[in-house]
Amino acid sequence: MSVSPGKKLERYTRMICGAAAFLLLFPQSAGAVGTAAGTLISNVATVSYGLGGVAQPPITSVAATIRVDEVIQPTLTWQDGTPVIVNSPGANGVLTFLLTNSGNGQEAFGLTRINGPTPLPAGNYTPLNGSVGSMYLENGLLAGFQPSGPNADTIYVPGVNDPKLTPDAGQFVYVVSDTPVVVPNSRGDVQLQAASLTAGAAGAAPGTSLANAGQGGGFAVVGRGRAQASATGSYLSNGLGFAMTKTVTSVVDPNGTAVLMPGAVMTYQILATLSGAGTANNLVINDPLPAQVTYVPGSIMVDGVAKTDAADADNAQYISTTQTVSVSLGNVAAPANIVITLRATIN
Amino acid sequence: MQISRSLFTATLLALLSGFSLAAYAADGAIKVTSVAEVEVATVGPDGKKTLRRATPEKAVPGTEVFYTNTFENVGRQAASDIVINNPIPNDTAYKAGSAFGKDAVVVFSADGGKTFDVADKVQVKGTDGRQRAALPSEYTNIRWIYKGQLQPGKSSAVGFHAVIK
Repeated sequence: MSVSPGKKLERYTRMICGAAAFLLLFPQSAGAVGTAAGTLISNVATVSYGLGGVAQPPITSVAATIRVDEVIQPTLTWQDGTPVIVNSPGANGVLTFLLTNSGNGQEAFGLTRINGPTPLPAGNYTPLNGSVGSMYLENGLLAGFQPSGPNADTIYVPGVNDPKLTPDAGQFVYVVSDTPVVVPNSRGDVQLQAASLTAGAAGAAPGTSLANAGQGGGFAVVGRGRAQASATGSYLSNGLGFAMTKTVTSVVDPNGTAVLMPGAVMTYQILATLSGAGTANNLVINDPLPAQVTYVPGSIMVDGVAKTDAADADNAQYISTTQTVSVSLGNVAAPANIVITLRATIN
Repeated sequence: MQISRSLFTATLLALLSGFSLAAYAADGAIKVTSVAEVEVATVGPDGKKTLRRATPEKAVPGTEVFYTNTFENVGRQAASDIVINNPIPNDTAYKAGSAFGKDAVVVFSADGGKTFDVADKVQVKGTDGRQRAALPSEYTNIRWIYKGQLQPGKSSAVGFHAVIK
């Protein structure tokens, strides 16, 4: 096999490039956070040239190598989305948070909870640390919070089991709270804070560069969130607000005017309002009519729908023995409004 | 058999000596160095912002790295047919339009150095197996073809920018 000098040179160059490329094969992650901290990036240039028309062996530069530094960037999000309903007083209501390492190096984070972060909005209450423990770390055996049993999650002890996360990895954190005696339907907030445990990182200005503190031996660079993150979750104390108003919406007397006189027909409206959070079970609204009036048969309407007087499939009836209009609403979830109208004649 | 073995040994020796030549840049008539830097903004006492090149201290993903390859003729003869080959460094993407080089034609490859062409004509095989125009971020290699000769004692520089993925 004969190879021309030019071809030989080309092959030569390729061999060297191949060798250089091999050296560059370095472990790296392909996550959204970018090249892993500690990765070495090498640049090698190869020059081929000729002297007096004769091709010379190519010359390769010493590799210009830089080490990828670590960005410290945690993110924290509250997972429940809507306030978690708790009894008042109550124990061990659970808020779920997700701590994510959005940096490019393995990093440990310390967690802190702030009960009722300031400024405390008017009407808010301050939750208490849970009696089973204030913070738990999901152990991965079974999704969701388990305080005990075979899949029990791990109670968080600062400085002992701080979550150490690889790039892009997440850790579910459960914030457990007891609820003091509070007004029904009031909100209680807990803020969870995560802070990098790299010395000097948490709270430092974005872009702060800390020598030898990055994973892989490079710099640790404080990310845009100052190497810390926080998220606030909310509880809502259970308890239904129930209000009922009864008004006379019209009076029609025998003369066609609105004079309250014997024979005048009055229209009553009962407005029942369920507020807050939770469900009213087997809600029954009874309206005993005064002795001075006589019920107008077939006049019950519930939310605009006419009902019969008999104790039958529809949910309203008139009980003549006690002269009472009774409406059974079953289980009603708050918030809800129920409008009942009926008519009665003045005796 | 004997002859072919000695021939093989000779070839191997030649290859090894070739490698040693390549490894020690000072042994050739051309000396080449590659430098990686980042641009750092500093605000002076007069409030003016100045940019300077520095050794990276915050080489995090997204950082633009400035690569400069300087080549110098350290021999006694003029060097000709100078070609500088530079694979795009691992974990970086070539920044469009950043390649520079005085008196040099710049060509790129998106197939690991098999084929080269000028910037807007570089082709790459798409996922459907068809050739298509390559994005600058898909370039795998840069090559500078130096026009003319480099006289003894003279040097020149070529370079490019790449962004850490």
